[in-house]
This record gives sequence, C-alpha cells and structure tokens, in this order.
Amino acid sequence: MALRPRAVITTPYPTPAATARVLGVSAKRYRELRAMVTDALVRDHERKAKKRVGTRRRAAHRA
Amino acid sequence: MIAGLCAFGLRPRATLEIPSPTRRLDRILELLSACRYSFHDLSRVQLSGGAPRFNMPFEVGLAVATARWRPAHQWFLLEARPYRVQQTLSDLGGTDAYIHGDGPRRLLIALTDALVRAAKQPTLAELCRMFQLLSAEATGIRRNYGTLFGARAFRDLVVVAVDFATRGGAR
Repeated sequence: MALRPRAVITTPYPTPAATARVLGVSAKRYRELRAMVTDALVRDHERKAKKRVGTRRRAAHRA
Repeated sequence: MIAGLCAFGLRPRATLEIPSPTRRLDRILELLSACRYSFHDLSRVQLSGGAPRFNMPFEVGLAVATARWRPAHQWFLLEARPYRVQQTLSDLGGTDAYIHGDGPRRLLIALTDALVRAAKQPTLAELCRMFQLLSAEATGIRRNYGTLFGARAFRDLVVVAVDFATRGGAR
C-alpha cells in the first residue's frame, strides 16, 4: 500500500482578521487574542535573548 | 494538529465549532464541501460511557464520498498505530494512514509527509516551535472555557495559531 501524493498548498497564508471573521469570533475577543499572541512572542523573544547571552558567556568563559 | 495545519497556511475547521442547534450532519457536509482538504484521525474513536463513538469513521465515509463527486477534495487518514486501519476499517484497503503514534512530534512529521507548501515548506523545527507556542497559550484558553474541546476554545486556538503563523511565530 502506498501513501497518496502530497497535497501542494499554493494559497497565501490566511490573515488572523479574516480567520476571526470566518469563525465568528467577536471583535473584542479578537483584540484580546491578538494581544495574547503579541505578549507570547515578546516573552519568547526575551527567553531566546537570555539563552543567547548565557551561551555566549559560557563560550567566552571556556575561551 | 491545529498548530501544524496553520503553520502550513491552512485554516482549520472542525465539527467542534458547529453550534448544537444546527443539524450536525448538514453542517459537517457543508464543512467538507467547503474545504479543500480533510484530516480524519481514527485513533480518536474512543469509548464514551462504555460505548464507542463512531463519528470519526462516519466522517471519513462522508469525506470519501465528497472526494468522489468533487475530486478536488483530498482526505487524509491518521492513526496512532501502524496497520490498525487494516483491522478496523478494511473497506479502506489500499489507503495507508499517516501514523502519529499519539505524539505531537510524530503528528507534525506525518503532516510534512502529507502536505507541501509551494512557496516555502515549513521545517519540522518551525512546526515544533509553533506547537510549543500554541500549547503555552492553550493553557490560558482552557482556563477561560474549562475545556479545549468546545466551539469557542477551538475558534480561539485557530485565530491564535494563524496569528502566530503570519507573524513568523513558527520561524
């Protein structure tokens, strides 16, 4: 038995606003969700930056 | 699954989002005919109050029929264990299921086997990162609604996942 050929996706990425509209998410909830994503990305960026500094410090210490 | 599909630039829909007053079967058929792809995880056939839930295999049947009269529709079968489909749904003989082993990483690998994005294929690392970001936010959404398996929680998860995907959260 063989797997089917892969599906090729050519459509552009949907926007969050259009997605919220299609799914019937209220404007208020949509704003809350956008803020949630912004916070998560900021937190993630800070975590990554901290990790990079730690790695650099360890490398410098070893050198 | 939501994280993976959104990272590929798809917009997931699910029977979960169907409000109860609507006739469920009509809405399932509407969703199937509106979507280009459908994904059916047969490992989700579990016991509920001692009785198995047959919704998933029934929906596979509807997807197969949809693809017959609308060949543009593509359906994908997912299973946790290899060769189990041959035992449980032998009518689909000749169709291999994508095996995910009940784990998110293998499910994401299965999606990369099933899908390809013409412009830029998301890497497994990007898919895993997207999954991590969405999982972290899912905790808050679950707290908000008491469950993730409801219409509102599903909608929130999809909007958040699409937002992560478009803002480069997966990269």
